[in-house]
Amino acid sequence: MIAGIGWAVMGIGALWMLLAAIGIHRMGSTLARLLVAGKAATMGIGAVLVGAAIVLRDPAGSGLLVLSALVLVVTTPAGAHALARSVRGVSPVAIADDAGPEADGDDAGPDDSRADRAAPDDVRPDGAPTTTADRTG
Amino acid sequence: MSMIVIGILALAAVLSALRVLRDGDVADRVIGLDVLLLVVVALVAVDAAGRQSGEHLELPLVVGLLGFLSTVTVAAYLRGDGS
Repeated sequence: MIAGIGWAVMGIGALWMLLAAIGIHRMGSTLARLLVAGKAATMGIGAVLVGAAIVLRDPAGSGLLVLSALVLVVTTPAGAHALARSVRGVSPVAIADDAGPEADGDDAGPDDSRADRAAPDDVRPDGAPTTTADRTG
Repeated sequence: MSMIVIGILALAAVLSALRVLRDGDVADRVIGLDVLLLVVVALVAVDAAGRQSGEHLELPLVVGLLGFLSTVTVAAYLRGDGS
């Protein structure tokens, strides 16, 4: 009974990993392929490892499987995120290279930063007094 | 029961290896290698569950951490356009 549930969870996880392996062929751009590798593969590996931990009747082995499931579920989206940042031209790890109080512009890509840089040139005569008035008042 | 799951995962491994061998940027090949490494980890876990042997279950932990480290390392050396 318990083993059947574990095998069912493992089968679902294997189907998700097959879906991820199909998706990295079928998706159109590199960022879409990174989305598949970061989400569907994470779901698949988590389900497979938890299912194997359910089936296995060895407490030490089940503990190691659950531990590796936790580690992989945390690190796989982090790796895909670093790779996505690197593909978009940003530094892959968000080390505080501009350690100002306004860290919102850090995770925006080059396109967004260009849009942000183009926007205040038009709005600055109107926008700057209102912002200072808001900050002082 | 174990053979069905291993067959699905083997198909996923073949598709990931084809992603590595196909044309594409370096980022696409790194994605393929990442998914291939996850499939290998899943195969080790399914094999351990099928044979009821918890002997070499340190391998998923170590291989998963090495995969994350290699992905971040390649991402640190990529240029902006993914090549």
